[in-house]
This record gives sequence, structure tokens and C-alpha cells, in this order.
Amino acid sequence: MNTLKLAFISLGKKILILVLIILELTALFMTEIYMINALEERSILNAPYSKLLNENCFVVYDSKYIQKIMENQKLTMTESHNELLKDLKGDYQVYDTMHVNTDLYHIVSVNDDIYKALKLPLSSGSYGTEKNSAVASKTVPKGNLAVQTADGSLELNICGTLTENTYIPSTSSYNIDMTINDLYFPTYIDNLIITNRSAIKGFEDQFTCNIGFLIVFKSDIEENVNLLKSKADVLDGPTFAENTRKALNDDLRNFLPLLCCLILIVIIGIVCVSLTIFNENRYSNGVLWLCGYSKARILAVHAQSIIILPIISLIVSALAILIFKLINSEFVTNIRFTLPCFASALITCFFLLIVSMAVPMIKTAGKSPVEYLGRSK
Amino acid sequence: MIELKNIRKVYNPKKRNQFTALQDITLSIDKGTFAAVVGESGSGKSTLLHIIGLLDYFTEGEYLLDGCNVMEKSDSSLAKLRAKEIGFIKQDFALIENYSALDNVMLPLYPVKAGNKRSKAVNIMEMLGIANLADKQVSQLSGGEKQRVAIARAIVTSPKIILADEPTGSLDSKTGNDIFNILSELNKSGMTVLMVTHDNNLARKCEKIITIKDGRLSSVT
Repeated sequence: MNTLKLAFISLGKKILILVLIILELTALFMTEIYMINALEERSILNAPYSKLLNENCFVVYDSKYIQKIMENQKLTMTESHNELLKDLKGDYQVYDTMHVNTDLYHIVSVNDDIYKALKLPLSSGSYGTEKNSAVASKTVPKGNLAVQTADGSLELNICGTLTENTYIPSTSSYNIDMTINDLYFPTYIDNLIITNRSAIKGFEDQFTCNIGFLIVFKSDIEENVNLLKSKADVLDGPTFAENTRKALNDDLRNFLPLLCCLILIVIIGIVCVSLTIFNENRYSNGVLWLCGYSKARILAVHAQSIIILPIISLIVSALAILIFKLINSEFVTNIRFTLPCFASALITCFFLLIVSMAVPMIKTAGKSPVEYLGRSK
Repeated sequence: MIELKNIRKVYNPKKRNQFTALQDITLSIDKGTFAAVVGESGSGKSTLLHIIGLLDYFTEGEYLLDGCNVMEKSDSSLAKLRAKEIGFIKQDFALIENYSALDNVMLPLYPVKAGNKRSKAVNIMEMLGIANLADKQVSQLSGGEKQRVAIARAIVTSPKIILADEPTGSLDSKTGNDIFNILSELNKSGMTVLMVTHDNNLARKCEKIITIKDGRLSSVT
């Protein structure tokens, strides 16, 4: 429709205002993208553990292992863990991460349940459903892989490729304020393979446990927890979940004032731009009325001028993120332009369009646009 | 074709600066009429034309266009009617300066969802001898050329009614006569033409003269 030309002509006359509003909108979109990424990241990391943390789950950190090593006790991590667990009563389930460095690969193994629920982003493929399924960094080709170990050949099926902003499941630190992020190591390494426990059956001796692990008790909870606390650092699941929630709320609290400020500035800016353009186009709008355009259609033509602004800003935001990524800026290391980001941006565009159209709609209500033809062009 | 019954138009009703532009206008215009609307400045001629052309709302009364009561129609229906049935020509041409002549002529074709818009517009421009101006920006045209473009736009949807509000007011006498002759030809082809004019010579050439005085219908001769 040739009225799009009118939209560009109107915008072309106000370059400085245009640039200003685009910068404001770009800042708004980038803040939104950061906030959504923070929420998504938490959701991704939480996914395998969220159900566990609601049960009688505890985070255990074998802090005394380091002490034992320094006392010159020849003890493997697995042996140390077994010592922690040996006097526990009743039924319990341990969720731990095991790892091994072969000549070529760094292999991480998590419990089958944890592997099934892993949601670390993949650039291609899937987590697979078979017993020996695995995902790996991009340097490891997909398909069947035979990894040579001291106990023979470990057969894995690489089903998916991890992205470069991935996390490695690993409980390597402890503090009473620890959150879900502390169950992962935020890094990417070449030749990394993450697989489930069933895949390494028979090869466990080749693997080393991480210093921390999760444990879920089905019975004798108090007694078992007291026993563990005498030998290691222990944090209960609900406290851990609460720490995670608090950390998320803190993140949001950091973003929200900025977001609210930006939204306010953008609303004021876009309403002013909308009004300015509408006034500039009064005569043209009168001509459209003369030619048989209804008020709704005239407002739709005006909306074309306005919607271009957030669309341009969205493109600028995406380009800015891409450029930062290309220059490996830390600013955007873990930022992804995902579907929720896109949906949020669309909703913002729609909201801003509604808000910016409010004043022209009020101005045209109950009046005939034929008045506009009486003004100067 | 056009029937107005007791039309009243009040600007800013219920306000201190309330102003009655038209009062008790009862008028009937048959199909194919070529009528001049005359009167002093501020008598309500343009207001009458705007109401007949569905460009403005009236405060009281009844308006039947081809037997249909316009008050019963929605805004969008009236807009479509305006695009399809009525062509408007104004003294200041009412063209979008940043558009080309062709773009201006094509404007009324969008609301009526016409096909082959470009070829329809070009045909009309050829008929009026201005096809060579198609790609020129309106701001580069002379007064006479602009008015021809305005006429082309007014007739591109083959309307039944042409409303011309002082179409020759901004033109020299020769160009004004040329424009009047175009309107005459359009009337002969079957279009109803109502023309507001201050030019008594032109008014006398029309078959009917409608005189407005102080917002009221003074005479129809």
C-alpha cells in the first residue's frame, strides 16, 4: 500500500527525534532480553533438580576430604563418599556427578533421572533416549563414539551438540547461601561429553566423583542428616531452593527499576512522536478522508509510521547483540535471543503501538477529519 | 438522487462558541444535474458540500443518498460510499505534495479494493491529457496541472457525484474555463456535478443555481 511511503516521509522529517526514540527503544529491548535470559537461565538450571528439592533432599559437601588428603591419607573421592554414606539407615538415593579425563575427552556422567531432565541448550540434535545417549561440545561429531579407557571401550551415542554458552553439571563448591548455579560450572570446553549413569555401567571405577552431591532420604531423615552433618557440610533442600529464589528475586530487583524507568521514558517519547507525526500529517489525513478512507483506516496509516520505530529498534538490538558476540564481549557471553525474548519484544511493540495511538484516537473521536483540510499543508 | 430534509449543522454544540452554519436546508438534486452553489463568504456553501459529500456530520435532519438514509450507515460504510460514489475537488487541490501525481490519483482506489489500480489511474490521466505528469511530484506542478490531477483522482472510481468547492478559485481565467469545461464534459457523461463558485459567469452556465444565505437556502433557480 502506498501509504507506507507517507509513513517513511513523516519519519524522514524528524531524524533526530527518530534516532533518540530508537536508542531508547533499543535500550528497553536489550534490558528485556537480559531479564528474560536471567529467568530462562534459572529455569534451565533448575529443570533437573526442581522436583528433587521439594523432597527430603540435602546438598552434601565432603569438606573433610581435602583435610584428609592434606593429612596424607590415600583416599579417592569415591572412597571418601562411601565412608560418608556407610552408616546411613533406611532408603536413600544419591545424585552425584562423576567425571573422567581420557586421552581425548572429558566425560561427565550424571544420574539417569538428571540426564533425562537436563535442559542445557543444544545447538543441534537432542539428548537422546537410549541407554548410552550423550551430548557433547561441537568438536565431538554426532553418532556412535568408542572412547578408549583402561577398562576397555566405552560406547556412547552422541545425539546432540552443546552450545558455546553451556554449563557443566558439577558440585564443586559449598556455602550456606549456595544456589542452583552452584550445581554447575559455567564454562565451555572442547571435547566435553555429558552422559547418563547407565551409559558408563561397568566403567565406574574409571570415573571420579565430584566433591559435592545431592542425597534424598526416604526414611530416618533426622538421624541420617545428623550423621552426615558430623562428617560433612550439609544444606537442606528447601533452604537451597529458597536461596535460589532469593537470588532470582535479587536479579529481577536489579533489572526492574531500570526497566520501569525505560518503559516510562519510552512511553513519553513515543506518545510525543506519535502526536508530532499526527499533527504533521493532518493535511494528508484530511486528503485521505476526502478519498474515502475511514477514520480507522487513517489511524491504521498513522500506526504504520509508529510501528516502524520499535521494529527498527528490535533489529538494532539484535544486531548489537550479534556484534558484541562476534567481538567476544563478556557483556553478552550468555545472552541468547530466544523465543520468549522475541515474544516479549512483540508484546512490547504491540503495547507501545496501543499507547502511542491513544492520543490520535482521542483527537479524531467525534470530529470529522475534513477540518484538517482547512489547515496549512 | 440527493435529498436533504431539514438539515441543520451546528459547530461546537453546547459550548459558548456554538455556531449554526446551516439551518432548515431542504433540497433535492436529481441525477445528472449540473448545479452551482452560490452565496457570500461564510454563508455555509462549503459546509453544505461537505455534508452532501459525507465528509462532515450534520446535527439534525435527514439525508437520503439514492434512497438510503446515510444516518443508518456505519463510518466505514460511509467511507466506502465516499470513495466509490463521490468525487471531491477543492480550491487548494487537496493533493499530497510528497506523492507523485499518479500516487495521488490512485488513492481512492485502495478503500474500494480496486484491481489494476495503476492502469486505471493511468487511463484516467490519459483521458485528461496529463499522463505525462504521472511520475512528477505534485509540488512540481502548476495550478492547472494540479487541478487536473485532482479531477483525475475525483473520477478514478467512476463516481456518480462530483462535488467541486471553488475548483477555479486559485486559477487564472483561461485555466479556470478549461477546468469548468472538463466538469461540463463529466456532467454530460452522466455524473451529477455540484460546484461552489464565486464566479457568476460560471454559475450562469450551470443548469441550476442554489443560493445559500446566512446558512439557509435562499433560492433554487
